[in-house]
Amino acid sequence: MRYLPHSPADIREMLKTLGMTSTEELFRDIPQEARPGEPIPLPEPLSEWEVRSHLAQLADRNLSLDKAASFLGGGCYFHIVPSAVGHILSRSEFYTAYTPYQAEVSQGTLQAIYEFQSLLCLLTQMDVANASVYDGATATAEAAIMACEATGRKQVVVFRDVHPHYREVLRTYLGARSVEVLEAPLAGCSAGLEKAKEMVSKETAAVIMQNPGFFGQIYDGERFAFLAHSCGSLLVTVVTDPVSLGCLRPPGSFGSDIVAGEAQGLGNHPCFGGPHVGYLATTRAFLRRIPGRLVGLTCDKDGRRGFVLTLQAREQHIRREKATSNLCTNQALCALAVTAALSILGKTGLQEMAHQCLHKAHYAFSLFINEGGCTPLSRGPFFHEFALNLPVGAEEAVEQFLNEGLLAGYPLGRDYPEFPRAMLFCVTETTSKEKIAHAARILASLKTREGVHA
Amino acid sequence: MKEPLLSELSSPGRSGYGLPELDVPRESLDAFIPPSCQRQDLPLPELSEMDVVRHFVRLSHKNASIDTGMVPLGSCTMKYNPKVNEDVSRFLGFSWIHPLQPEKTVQGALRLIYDLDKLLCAITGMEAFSLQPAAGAHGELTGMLMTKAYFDQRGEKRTRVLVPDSSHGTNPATANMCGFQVVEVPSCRRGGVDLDALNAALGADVAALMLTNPNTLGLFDEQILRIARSVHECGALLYYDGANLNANLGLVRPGDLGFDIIHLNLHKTFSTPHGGGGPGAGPVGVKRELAPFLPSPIVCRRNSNGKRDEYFLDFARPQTIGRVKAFWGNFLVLVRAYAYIRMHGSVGLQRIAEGAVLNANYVMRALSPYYDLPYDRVCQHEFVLSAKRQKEKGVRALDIAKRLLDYGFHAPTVYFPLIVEEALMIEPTETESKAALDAFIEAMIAIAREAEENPDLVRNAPHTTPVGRLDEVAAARKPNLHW
Repeated sequence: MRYLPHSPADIREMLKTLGMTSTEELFRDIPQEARPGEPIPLPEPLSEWEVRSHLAQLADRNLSLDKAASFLGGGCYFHIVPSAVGHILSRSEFYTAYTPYQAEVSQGTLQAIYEFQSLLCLLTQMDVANASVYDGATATAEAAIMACEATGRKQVVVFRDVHPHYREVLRTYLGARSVEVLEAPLAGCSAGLEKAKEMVSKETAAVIMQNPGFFGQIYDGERFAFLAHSCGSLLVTVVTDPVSLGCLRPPGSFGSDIVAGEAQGLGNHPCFGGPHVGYLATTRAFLRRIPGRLVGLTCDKDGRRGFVLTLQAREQHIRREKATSNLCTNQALCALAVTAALSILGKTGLQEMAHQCLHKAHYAFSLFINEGGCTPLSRGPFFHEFALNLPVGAEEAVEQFLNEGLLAGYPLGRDYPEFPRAMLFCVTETTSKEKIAHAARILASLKTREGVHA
Repeated sequence: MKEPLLSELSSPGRSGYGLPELDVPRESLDAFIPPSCQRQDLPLPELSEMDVVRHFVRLSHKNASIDTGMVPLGSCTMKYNPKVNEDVSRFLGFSWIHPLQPEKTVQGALRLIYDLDKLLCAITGMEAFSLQPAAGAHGELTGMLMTKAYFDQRGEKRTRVLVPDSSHGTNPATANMCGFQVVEVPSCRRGGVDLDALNAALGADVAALMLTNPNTLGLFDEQILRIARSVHECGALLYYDGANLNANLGLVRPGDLGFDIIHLNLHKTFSTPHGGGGPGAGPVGVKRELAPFLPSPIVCRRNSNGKRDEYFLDFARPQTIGRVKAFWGNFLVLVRAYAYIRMHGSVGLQRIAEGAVLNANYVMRALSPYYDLPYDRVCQHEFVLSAKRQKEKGVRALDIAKRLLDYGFHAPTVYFPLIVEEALMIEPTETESKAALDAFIEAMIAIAREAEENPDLVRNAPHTTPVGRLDEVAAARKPNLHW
């Protein structure tokens, strides 16, 4: 057995020091009646060669994004990841390291996290960011809990175009604490802000909005900040693609109190939805309420600069049932990928990536409408995602795209039954003009067929 | 050597990455976004690719890791991370697939999740799993939310959750997050749960007892079947914190011991890398009657008349507690765990547990003349020493932990569990050879000697690491959390 280093002689020798002759003697405390009478039915063990081959076969049964251009977004984004990122992540000392509780032998991890925190503060224009949480959805739930604790209130108002999965996680987490979740209409629709104004009160701990929203729309954040603050609640802004912060006004600049984000779009591949990397960023006022790990800069006794986990009294290993959350693991390696990618892209690279997404998405938007026979759900400004009503049902369009080797956008009707023919398209810097044109042709052909059937 | 921060290495105009040329007409941003919604400045560092690579490679040199030396942290199961797992997780067919793709284009991924679910059922004796939770604590939260939903559905008002005084901090923190009141149950002299205290605490208002077995003292609770009976007799559920499953693999299954809900830590028992603090995965397994409450969706299989099996996401789960995470779970972590299980098979898993327990007992026996052993029993995969003897010379568990760093070992867990004074919790795991264990034993004996003969050397340790002990008080008093 490859990962079990003892020879039979080793085992005998070690047992002898214990005064034993068989390993069975080590397990006398386990009640016999509870032990399985025969070996657990599992498949026969595979060698490394065979397991690689078996996994390769499983992987081959998936259509990967190198083989099919995709128009999918919806909270998970396919961006260019610089090659060096993977190499940095493959350093043994990073990926086989433990959580950095012993700071003296974890300065690599700790400094990298400090740099992650710093970069996120710059991107979001907030005062402090934590070392990451599981994903954007749980970040949103934790942000809501922070707001409830900070205000002492037990209600939140969330707009309908916050990511559907995020709203579900919010209900799961807040339901357990008897916090009421009120849902306001799509922030972008005419009734959205108006209805939200009627819903907020001095019971409201937080107003939660996503910018850009799930349908792609960019909002004037100041109006939402005003809405939240006017009733004494906190504004929680959800950001699902960090690349958007390369050209959009950052949430800190329009009055957000907490930013709940997903950083997968930088340095991390789609990975079928995980592992991704969420984060929380907030203002100085709420620093001591932020859950999850925080890395701080300090010195050792010889005056050498060093980094250390700090404000740990908030956390489970010290406060136990009084902890701000139960968080233990974060997403350190994924956060390292974000940091490495941002370092390589830098100011100009991120800006260019964001600009290319913006340009290609708008190019596609125009083409899909003018030639593809689609109609927009809204004419408001957007970043790299937009929602269109299609000439045929969205699920049929998915089939037709697949027949021609493309992955269509996301059928919005699955989460928003009020929009049965709508599709959410995402266009990033990875989508070529040719593929956009191809998609437009497919949409146009659907229109023609629909005309024939009608 | 101090490694500069990215901001200190930055130089205006330096650029690390060239994107392909934009292939659609370039316009002014104002054409797309109103100026009031645009970013004014973007003060990110500017570095070349080589700057960045050197920076992170140099940083990596400052880390201890399993690939450099033993990390004998109790309850963390820092075993070797097989390299083939890394290779297969990087197949484009796994890493370059989008979670919202049509199901027929991701049958390989869905099948892997389904098969892993069934393998974990077989290994643990549970009947259904969710692979959605992203970490152990996340799995605990899921399990306790399901506990709450289960009793809500039955119309039973149960507000209290019992945890042993030796429990990991996430147990009470999680119970609290779900709105339960936490009650601690003391441990008996043998180290297990005090049965009398447990029976006194149990009642019709108790929702669950959260246990890990072996417990955080590394001891298998011989009373486990009686405990399970008592808990079930008052109508409560028995929750298994799977952090210590490594000691049970292939030998005994939590489902057979009477546990109703369990969570696993794939980044402990199932060899997926710790990554410096994640990502991990915390699957939750349950007995049949709790399956309806699992997070939605679940990967299921249908077979249409002799054609190939089809795997799909089943969202039709009316009693689900809901989602605990976006999308379907930490898929690339699941891939690694799946590969690991497939390489070991049933006999392999049993050898893992035997190796882990043998290694722990071997080290414990060798160290017992030099350190206090609060529980002189056969341990399982980990054991706890007390530095009480050394404390009399002014050398504490923390100092011993720091001095071990100078010997090239990562420190064991210290000051946990809380019920042992000056605790040192040691878990070598099964992947360490006898030679590696002997080197660790030698180091611990040397430090015990130093504590007698040269206590200052230990109290001021570490001496050879990139930095010495850091001023944590200053870090907390005036937090500096970004450059």
